[in-house]
Amino acid sequence: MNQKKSVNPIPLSLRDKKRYLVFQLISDEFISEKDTAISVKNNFLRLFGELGLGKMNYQFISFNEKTKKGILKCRHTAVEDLKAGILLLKEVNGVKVIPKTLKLSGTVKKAKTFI
Amino acid sequence: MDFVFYSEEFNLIELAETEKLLGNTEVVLCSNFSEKQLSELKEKLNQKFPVKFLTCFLLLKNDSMQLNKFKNKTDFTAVLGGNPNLNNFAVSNKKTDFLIKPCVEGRLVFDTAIARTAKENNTKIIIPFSQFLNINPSKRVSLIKNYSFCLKITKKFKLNPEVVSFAQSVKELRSVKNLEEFKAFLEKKYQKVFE
Repeated sequence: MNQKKSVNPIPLSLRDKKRYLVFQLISDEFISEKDTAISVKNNFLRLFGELGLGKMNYQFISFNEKTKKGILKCRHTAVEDLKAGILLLKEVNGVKVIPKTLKLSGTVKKAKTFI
Repeated sequence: MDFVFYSEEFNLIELAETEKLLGNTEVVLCSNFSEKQLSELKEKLNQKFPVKFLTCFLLLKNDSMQLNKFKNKTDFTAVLGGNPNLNNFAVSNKKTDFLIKPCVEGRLVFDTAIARTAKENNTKIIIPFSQFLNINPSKRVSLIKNYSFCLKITKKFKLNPEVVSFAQSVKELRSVKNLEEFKAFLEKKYQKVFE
């Protein structure tokens, strides 16, 4: 019996429009990618809750530990929420940081050129 | 223009460099200065900094005498609100340039009468972002609610309030451009809830 191994691709018209936000954490101390991912997610969870975060289609893409710049993904309608939410981030694993949003992009390839 | 709650713990060089890194060009140093503190600060400001520093006398109680005393000594005068009396004093006094912190958590202390008087006397409303940062998350709910309502009233009276960092330490500074987005977020949330 033939078993289906994967689902059919979602048509382009039904896919969510995504946006990639490039941000920077200003700090003199070292910040790891793992700690940043946890702190940023907890910050958004506290502000928007599980439902809000789910509907935002939130995803932590990457963080460059040298330049302290990272990329977050969200639905195109939730960009304002994401930009405002990241400003409320105070510290990453005990290290005080100053968050700053840099760029907004429609593709991850373009966003990666900024970090 | 960014506002900072200045104290002597601030290192002006570090402050100026961080502000420049964040893209802010003008910084207003607010404090309830004594005459001696103000003259010391003005001496320090004679150095060259990467950003432009301005001074603002911050009134913590409704004392017109103190306001008159400092009116021409600093670039601006402001009142730190937070209760109906102080908010009313700030907007009804023509010598006051800014009303900082018009709302607190808990009961709403900003109403249409205050907004109307602020419009008549050209008093600018300033929302400090550090209030959102330094508050307990459970109390932040009512603070967001109060400011959403405050923004609705100020929009009606075309007051165009500004969100500033009003930082008490360098790590509480934020980019003015980012803070404008935070203001849009506060306005948007209110519409979303009541649509």
